[in-house]
Amino acid sequence: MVEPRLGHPNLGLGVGLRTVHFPYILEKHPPVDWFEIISENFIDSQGRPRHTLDQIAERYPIVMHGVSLSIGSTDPLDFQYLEKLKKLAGETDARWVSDHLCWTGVAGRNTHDLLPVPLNEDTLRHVCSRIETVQDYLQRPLVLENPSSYVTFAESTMSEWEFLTAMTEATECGLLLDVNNVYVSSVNHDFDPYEYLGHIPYDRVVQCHLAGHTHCGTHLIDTHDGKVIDPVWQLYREVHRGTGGISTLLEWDAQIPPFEVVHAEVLKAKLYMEENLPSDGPQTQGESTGEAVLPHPLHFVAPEVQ
Amino acid sequence: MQENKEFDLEKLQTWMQVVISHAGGIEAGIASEEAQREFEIAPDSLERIICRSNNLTSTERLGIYGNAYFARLLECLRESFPALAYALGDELFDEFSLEYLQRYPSQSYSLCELGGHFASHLQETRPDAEQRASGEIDWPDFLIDLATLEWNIEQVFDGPGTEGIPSLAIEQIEAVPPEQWSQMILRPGPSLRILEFQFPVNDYYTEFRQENKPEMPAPRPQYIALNRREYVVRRLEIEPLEYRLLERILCGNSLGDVIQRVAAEAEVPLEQFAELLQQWFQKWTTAQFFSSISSPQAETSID
Ligand SMILES: [Fe+2]
Repeated sequence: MVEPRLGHPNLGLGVGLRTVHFPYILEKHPPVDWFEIISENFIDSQGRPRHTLDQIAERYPIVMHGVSLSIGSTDPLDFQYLEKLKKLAGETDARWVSDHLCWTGVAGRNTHDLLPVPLNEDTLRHVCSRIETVQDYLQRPLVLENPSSYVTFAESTMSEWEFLTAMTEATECGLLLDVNNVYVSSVNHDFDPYEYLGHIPYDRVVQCHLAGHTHCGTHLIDTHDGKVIDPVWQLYREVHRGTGGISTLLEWDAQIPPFEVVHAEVLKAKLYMEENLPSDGPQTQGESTGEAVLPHPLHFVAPEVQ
Repeated sequence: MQENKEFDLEKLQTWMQVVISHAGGIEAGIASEEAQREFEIAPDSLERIICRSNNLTSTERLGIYGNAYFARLLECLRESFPALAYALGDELFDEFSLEYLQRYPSQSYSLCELGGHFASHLQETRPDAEQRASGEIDWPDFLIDLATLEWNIEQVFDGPGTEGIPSLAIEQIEAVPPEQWSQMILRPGPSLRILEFQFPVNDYYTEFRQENKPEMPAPRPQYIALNRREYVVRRLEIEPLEYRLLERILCGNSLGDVIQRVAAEAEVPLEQFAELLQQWFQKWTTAQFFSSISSPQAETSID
């Protein structure tokens, strides 16, 4: 019998910490339940970003979310990187450390994208053995997220939920269930998102993500640049029911609006914790405007200079 | 992939990375020698590796990653080098960046490192090896200077600093007993960097940030000190002589050594030099360049 959420608390409704919101957060101390940081933006920082994080970590619970672990790669694990993750996790009292079920590069290179792995027994063994190494090193369970993906492989022999279930059973790692990613991938790969959720081992889910995406006509791209659309909220209702309540975080990474807008968006989750319908009508999905549509992740911290 | 009975993840990842990061697009990537070494397939049999969806072919689906690869990294370079991107214009900047990304693909877990070789790449690929000798074109030097300035600003912004630690005050320098003066060593704060340019790129950068749409300036040497105070990068123009002094101070030479060598090189009368030094120490301490002054022999630190 596994404890729900691997024993982690339900932190409530949180927001992804972005540098444009630093001044607002430091000044207003908004009543947000918790923050998730992009680990790579802080593990090497010796300037303003890290200084601000330290101040924020004094008031709010922090969770670390990475994009460079590359757990599915055949390159060796980067222990220097892991060392920095572990150090920052200790210093900010990070409640847990997460990354994605993906690979980011091979042959010493980093594409800075979250590339999917073929879902079969071979990759499962490979990923599980690396998860165990990472968990031994970090001395805590790793939490892994289902990424949005745009291809599937001829060599895949199982569904993503089968892979995730087997992975968490073998390693006791946690799951970060990105509800928007389930939806994006379901459209891109022609599966039923409710069937996917129906097979998720909810007691292993530590956290979930919500975000907006872009509709490109023939497929969806996970752009994190807008509000959560109604079908994703409906899936969230299902996740809430299945988990019995879960730390929920909104990611907004492009065309980032003022903090209040981002915060208000994640607070809408309350409406789906009961059987209420949203009062402001359903949100329809953003159409691609023909401008560059970039999937997450894209993170850059602009320097302050005089 | 029927010819591969054994599933090989490394092979698949190597292949996929080559294909999606190919500058000529997915199809050229699939046909490239590097990719063919992993999987000898024609673009129209891609379905042996990548499945199609109801709406998209295998090539179109893989192309989403291909488009994102350069777009994401170009975006990141544009944010690292905004003034350079303005100077070059979008099209040329993208062209230079595309070349750069192929020569120096990211090898770091962090995007912050991405632009680290940009200035040296511009130097290595400057188109004017011959004309340069005859002084015909100088814009490559301008671009290299600008890239160097922007890169250093970014490094100073997020690198080590001394926020919260008092910096060296002028009174502490004045308190050094005259007989110890020449052995003293000034320790710079960790964020201090000095830069030497052939073009006044610091002025250009200021104009750019004030949205004054600057034109490429005429060449003139410019010397800049960068440091960080209260988490904000400060830019300070310095004199050529100041630059020479700081250069030697940053190497850890004693003040006696530094002053003797620079004064001799500069051919400035000693009294005038002494006066300048006094002004500069004042300027440097006000700008919080240094963290301490100490004498290695006496093992005394006056900080
Ligand atoms: Fe996510």
